[in-house]
Amino acid sequence: MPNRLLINSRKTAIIIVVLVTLLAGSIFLLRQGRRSKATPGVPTLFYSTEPGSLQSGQNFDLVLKINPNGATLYAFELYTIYDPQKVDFQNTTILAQNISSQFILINSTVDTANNIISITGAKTGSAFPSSSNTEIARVKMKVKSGVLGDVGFSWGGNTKVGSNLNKELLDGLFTISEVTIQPTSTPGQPAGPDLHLDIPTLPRVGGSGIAQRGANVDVQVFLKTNNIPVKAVDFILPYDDSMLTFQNTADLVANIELDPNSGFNTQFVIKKVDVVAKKIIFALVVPVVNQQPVPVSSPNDILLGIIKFKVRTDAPDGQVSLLPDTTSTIYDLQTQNILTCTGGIRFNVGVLTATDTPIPTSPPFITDTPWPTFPPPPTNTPFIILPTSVPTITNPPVGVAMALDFKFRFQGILAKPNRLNSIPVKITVKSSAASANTIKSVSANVTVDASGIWSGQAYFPSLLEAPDYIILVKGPMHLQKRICENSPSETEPAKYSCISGNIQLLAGTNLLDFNQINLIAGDLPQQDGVANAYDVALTRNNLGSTDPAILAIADVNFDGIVDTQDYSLVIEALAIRTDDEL
Amino acid sequence: MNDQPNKNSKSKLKLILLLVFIVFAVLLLILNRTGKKDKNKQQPAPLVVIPTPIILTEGSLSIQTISTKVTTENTKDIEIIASSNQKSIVAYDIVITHERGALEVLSVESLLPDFKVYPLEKNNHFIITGVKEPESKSNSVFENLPIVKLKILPKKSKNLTLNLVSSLGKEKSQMVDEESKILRPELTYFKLNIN
Repeated sequence: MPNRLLINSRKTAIIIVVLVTLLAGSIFLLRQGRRSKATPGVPTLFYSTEPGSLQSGQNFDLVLKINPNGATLYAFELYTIYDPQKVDFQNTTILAQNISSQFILINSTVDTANNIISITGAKTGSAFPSSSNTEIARVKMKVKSGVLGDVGFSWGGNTKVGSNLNKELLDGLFTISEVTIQPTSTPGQPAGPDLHLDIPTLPRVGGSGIAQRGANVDVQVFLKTNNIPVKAVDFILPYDDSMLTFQNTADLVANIELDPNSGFNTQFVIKKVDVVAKKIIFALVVPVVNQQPVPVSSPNDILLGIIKFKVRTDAPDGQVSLLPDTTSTIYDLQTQNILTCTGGIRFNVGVLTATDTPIPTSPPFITDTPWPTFPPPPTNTPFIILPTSVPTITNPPVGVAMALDFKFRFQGILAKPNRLNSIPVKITVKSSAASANTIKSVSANVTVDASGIWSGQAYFPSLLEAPDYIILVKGPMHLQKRICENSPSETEPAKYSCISGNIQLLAGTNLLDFNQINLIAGDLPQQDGVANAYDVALTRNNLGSTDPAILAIADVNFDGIVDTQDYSLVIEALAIRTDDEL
Repeated sequence: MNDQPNKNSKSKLKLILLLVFIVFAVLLLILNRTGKKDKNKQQPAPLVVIPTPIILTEGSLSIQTISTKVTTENTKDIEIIASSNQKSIVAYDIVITHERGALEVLSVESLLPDFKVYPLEKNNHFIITGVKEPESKSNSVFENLPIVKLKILPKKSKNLTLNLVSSLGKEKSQMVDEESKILRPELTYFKLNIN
């Protein structure tokens, strides 16, 4: 009897072990099926953010990346689902302008009804690097104020790459932290060594620092050693390039002015402006005497240098936070990192109004108004020339937001075409009166109505009001057209031409009716600004084709087939030949 | 008496076994559905890829004068000679530069019956685009073949130099074949003695 019992209990034990193994195996297999792996030949799509850590109320770039994992692909059709409760776009007026890419984009739109960002395009020339993480596009977004926790971005179900290859989609989940900006430390207060910032010339309104668009912002960088001997400093400062640029754009490193009296060696210095990672970096070491470092130490703040920023003229209203990266280092004589904290500074971008009282009073801006001219003094008669009047000091004109609502026609399209109802066009504006340098371009989507008139809106966040604008319009298969009037007209296609601009653009919405002239077809993808033998050959060699890939480059009237109509339109363009320029 | 506990434990064991198998089956079902869902996400739809033009450094273009005699109107006839390295050409661009005001192009004539020419004259250069008629199916391989004849009027009484150039601004001298491949040919310059 006892033997039977023993046998039974052994059987039971074995059976239970087998069953548990089966269960565990099932759970393991289930997890394997859902775990992401980089399979060779299967591209992976994923997200990252810049900066890497998100903070409440802060701007960031959502970066869409791909690793082909050995697959060959050129084209992409990406759909990103975002959470509007937690994030918004930096440009809230024209959402599509938040999307940028180094590749050709056929479509870039934001569907706020379904919270989907759509980006379609292709890499030209060679395929995506087969085993590298490559940025496809980025979207300028911001974390809403007061939002904490996690924010997720997920791939839409219709996301495709290449010729509809199998792919792996990795959704993004990022943690939002609260902005922690430490106050500038006061000498004598017990605290560890730190790196902190100050902008003493920043006007303050209502207790908040405020900087105008186009204003210089000199950021002072201080080291506090707390009387501990320091032998080296690595300083890293991330910056928001949608708000800030540099005073010297020709030589970015020149915007890092190091203080020669800081005690650090002025010969062995590393300075870098990383425009990709959007970081300022400099590294300092102390001088060496008799093979011994001469450390820097002080109870007071030591000015290391000044970073010469400038608020972008097209910066949106908002807050700028500058906070040294916590990966910065302060090394003591034992090469130990003794950095305890970093101190940043925050200010707003906006316009000082007449009722604002800047504290301290900012020095007024000086215009280009010339001093009065004086007759030259007689020779050999020395005397002192004094001005007879004080020149007027005024503020320079400020750009305003403008929307251009325009309508036009494409040559050869007299009704709503079969294949395409919405396409991107490039709009360029230039005014001589406003400024010799006011040349700005944007891409705008246009849609067609039943009578073949295409309409759309181009948004410029900051343009100077002026009465003499010239506008250039270029379609995806068309030669660029220069337009100088609000409502130009022509008796025959391609006959309209002009030289001097007469378009007045004011703040707000400007209505431009160009539908009495035709944009001439003929500069086919890949566009080179001229209608030539290659463009003619594309249509001639593909007559009769309905292949989508061919239609994208040779279906000039968007009717879904490459035929003699397209061929004739390109032939006509040979007489016009090249883009109108400014 | 001892059989009762055994029967009970057997029943319990069977129940546990059944439960485990049910759970296992459910897990397998979930796994299977996850796999099908991934396949369903891949909607078949072709993507558009804008191709990069294929450019070949092949072929040649040169200029020759038809006769050395000056005509009664002081005009000169010159020809453009082309070679296309066995490729059948459907269109070409020829860019020729000259000293500003040194000549006037009076006429441009295609020497190939199924090609039409579209000349464009500028201050110091002219461009000739030749296009094969869409309905022509003949082979258009150029082998030292005169393709265009120009009648020019020299305006200055000294040597005239005509340069076939590979590019001038956005314009390029090129030939395009039936597969839309671009040939960038070898080019020469041409000196014409007026007197």
